[in-house]
Amino acid sequence: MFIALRDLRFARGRFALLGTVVALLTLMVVMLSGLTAGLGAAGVSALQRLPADHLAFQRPTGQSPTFTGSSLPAGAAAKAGAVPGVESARPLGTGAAKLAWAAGGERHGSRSESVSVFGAGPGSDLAPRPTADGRIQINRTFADDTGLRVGQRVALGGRTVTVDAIEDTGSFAHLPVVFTSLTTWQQVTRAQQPTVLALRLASPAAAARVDAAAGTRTLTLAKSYGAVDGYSAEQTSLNLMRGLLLIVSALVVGAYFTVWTVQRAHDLAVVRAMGASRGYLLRDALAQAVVVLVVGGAAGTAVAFGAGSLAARAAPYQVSAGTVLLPFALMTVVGLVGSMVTVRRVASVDPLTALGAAR
Amino acid sequence: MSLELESVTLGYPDGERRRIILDGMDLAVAGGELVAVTGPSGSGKSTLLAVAGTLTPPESGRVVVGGVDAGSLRGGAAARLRRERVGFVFQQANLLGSLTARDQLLLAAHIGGRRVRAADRARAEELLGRVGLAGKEGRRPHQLSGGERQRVGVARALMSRPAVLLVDEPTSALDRERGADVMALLAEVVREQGVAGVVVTHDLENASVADRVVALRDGRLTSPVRSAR
Repeated sequence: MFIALRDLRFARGRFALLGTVVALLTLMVVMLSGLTAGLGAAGVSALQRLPADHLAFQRPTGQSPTFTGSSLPAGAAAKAGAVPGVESARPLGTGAAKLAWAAGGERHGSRSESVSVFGAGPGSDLAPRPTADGRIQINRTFADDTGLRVGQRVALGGRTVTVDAIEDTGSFAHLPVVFTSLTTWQQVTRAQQPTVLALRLASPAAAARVDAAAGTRTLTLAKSYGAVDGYSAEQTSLNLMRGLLLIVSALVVGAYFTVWTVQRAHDLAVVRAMGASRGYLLRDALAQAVVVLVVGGAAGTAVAFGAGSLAARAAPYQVSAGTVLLPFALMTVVGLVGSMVTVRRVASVDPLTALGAAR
Repeated sequence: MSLELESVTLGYPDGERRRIILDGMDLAVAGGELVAVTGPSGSGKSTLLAVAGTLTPPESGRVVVGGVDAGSLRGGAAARLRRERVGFVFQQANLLGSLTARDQLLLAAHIGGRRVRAADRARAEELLGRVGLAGKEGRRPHQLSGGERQRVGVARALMSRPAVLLVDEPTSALDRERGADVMALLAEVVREQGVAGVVVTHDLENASVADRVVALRDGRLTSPVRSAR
């Protein structure tokens, strides 16, 4: 680091420029990571909270099952429950409806919001609390945003129901989830049969037996996220953008250090002629890259953390170690990979070029 | 002898022919002796330094640097020998732009892979004082004159207490007065430090401060143009 640190001090304007570019790229990657995770959670967090490890869908006519296209065959729950290796099989209805209520305050009127409606059977542990006909459990964040409270009467899909509880029900398809009984869910969504079976299996092998017995297509809970409309396309798009940003980062850092190395090739030749090993120069060059990447990346991450914390109050944005520190580490690694393109140039510097006749 | 070259031969491809630069050349320099090698441009003066400094291995012949047979050394072993026994003074000093005068010397201590110690700092200060740069230790190359830069180069070359000092056209970028100052300084430090000094120059007047002046012609060193003073 002897030369590296002195170069950083001496050419501070040039390195500050690169550090700023690294900071901006890190800012974008971290923000995009928070948004990806936030949108992902808005799409499937209600599924993530289900006490189940597999979901069984109606066997699809196409390639993949979807929540909107699934309607379980009659008796599927009983058939699946009788399969060896199935610890529990509980029907779950999913759908969307309009929730409307009378708004109080100075300007009286009515207000409505779209919600996802989950129907769980009596005695089912899929809902945070036992469900009852004509009663709903609403999402806590949704309740905070709307001012809805326990005991308030609201219209769900045109049917009058009562808010029974406020719970952490999560989101589904970017809408807050409202839990109710299967019967009320059928009345609200006008569906005949539950959408999926929430399964708890003793072993994954039981999934095939369930499908054979109940005429379903069983997916692991994680794979079932792809059955939410738009989830896969949304996540793929955002991850593609993140990937492109990482590639751009590697190219920017690589290009900068390539130019920098070319500019100081004669200096490197002098140091080699003085007796420095290739390893010495390589360690020095990589240490310089690490300093720029860590300092620039940390600055970008700090700004992204602050901006993300604000964004999380108003948008589907998630702030966690996975969305802040992981992208920062990834940016540092990718930047280092980019800077490695200079390794060959540094290693191949010929000390002979330090002598006048060879220049 | 601190530096011995015996029957050293080296050539380069030149189109379809092979051009012999050093043709069975002999040179022996004792510690504390300064030898000036003169010759026209392209005569192989810098190549001679490259071979003596283990930057280029000879095709044949023997190169002994500070008692070590260096002719067969390559890569890391050659770099280590340069680090420990060879000091280079380059044309136009070749100082690193981001380093102060003091750091130019400390770098010579640091490239050995150890931490810079107080003793290294003390030697750097002492050498910079010796070459007349006391009080200018914190200046970077762009804050020094051409002569001062070359003096830093001389001090840097002596930092690792080398057995051999190889100097490549030290006055080519200096006016006559400053060039003469640098040559006089070289002659003094070579004697003081007891190193074997070889300076290549095309300037016979500047070469006159050396103990011996030899000319490189047709790949061989001629009998001394002028022997010991």
